[in-house]
Amino acid sequence: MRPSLVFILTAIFAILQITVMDYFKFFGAKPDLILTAALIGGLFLNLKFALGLGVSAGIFKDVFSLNALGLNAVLLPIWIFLIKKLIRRVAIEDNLSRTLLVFSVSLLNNIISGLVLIYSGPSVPPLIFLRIVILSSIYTASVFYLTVRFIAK
Amino acid sequence: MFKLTRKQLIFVVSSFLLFILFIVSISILRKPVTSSLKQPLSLIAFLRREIGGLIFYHYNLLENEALKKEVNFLKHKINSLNEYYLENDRLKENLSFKKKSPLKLISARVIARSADNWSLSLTIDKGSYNGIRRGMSVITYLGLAGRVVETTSSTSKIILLSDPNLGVSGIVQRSRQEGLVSGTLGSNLIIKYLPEEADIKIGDTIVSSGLDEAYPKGILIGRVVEIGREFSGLSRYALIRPAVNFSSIEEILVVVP
Repeated sequence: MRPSLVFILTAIFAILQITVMDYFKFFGAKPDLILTAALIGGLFLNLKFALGLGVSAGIFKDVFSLNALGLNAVLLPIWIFLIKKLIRRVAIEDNLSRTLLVFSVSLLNNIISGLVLIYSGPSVPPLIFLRIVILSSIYTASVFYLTVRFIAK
Repeated sequence: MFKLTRKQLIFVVSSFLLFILFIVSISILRKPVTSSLKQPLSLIAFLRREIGGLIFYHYNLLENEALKKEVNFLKHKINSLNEYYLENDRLKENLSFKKKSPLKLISARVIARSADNWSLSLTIDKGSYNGIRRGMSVITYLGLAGRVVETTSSTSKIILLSDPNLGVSGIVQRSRQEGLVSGTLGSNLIIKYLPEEADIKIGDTIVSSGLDEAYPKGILIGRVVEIGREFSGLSRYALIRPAVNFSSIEEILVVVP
């Protein structure tokens, strides 16, 4: 996949994430398009481009979040790096396996972000925590699956 | 002058009677004739239409394309007019609230929302240049919405009341029972630290108490929908359905103290 295509896709997804995605919330959870775009970069670009994309996407996400720390600017490049390591050892070629990988990463990303929020002070009801973690991860993985299928066409 | 022979008279009279019979029978015959001719007539009409369609195919094709374009254009126009109508309604409500309210308010539009699932914030199109400062409270004409947490010269970031990081001192309007209102990341808010004997019922209205000085007193927060006991058993809490629909805010009012 061409880097320019992934960068354009990331820019479009980033704009959509901060403007219209609140209207697509399902039980309070919305898909993480920025994470989706970063992971597409991680799967289809070389390490240098992918890390650059991950850092930029993470910074953008942090700018439009209320995190005191740049959590996403750290997490996204880490996920990309780990994915690169993984696909060097294990061949992940089909879309379904990639989607499962994105679901796992999204789940971990949500759990870490949620726990950071909880440990920073405010209390979040456990059911709402679980609902956001699971639904958002499923939603993100579905968006990834559809996006990759669309790009492949 | 009009002398007719018997034969001629019979002929005239019988012709006249036949004519009358013919006229009368027309209405009787109309139905069966029409119904028996229906199939062939339909077939002829069909053939005429199809042949006409073939002859005027190109003309019809162009006309169809032009009409489709026109329909799409009109649909687009209707949609945009509908959007203007709704925006006009909202702005009118904001304006009338602004005029009636004793508070000094700055109105602003929402230009972006939070990027993740773990924080609920808005970015508005006005900042320090317009007089907005960190810590100012934010309302809509429906009730309390949040607080300004960051400002640049032309934009500001607002933390919404539904975010668990924000706490507002609220009171039950009926009994004046005080508690701390905060978000849950879900659709409801929660009022915590209510004593065991707190006078609070389902349906009670919760308003800002004004005790923390960050928010004006008496701004509507929402209505109680559920009351429960804290896990520790020392205090109670109540879930509040917020007056403001946080996911669809498009214009807000910043309160200038």
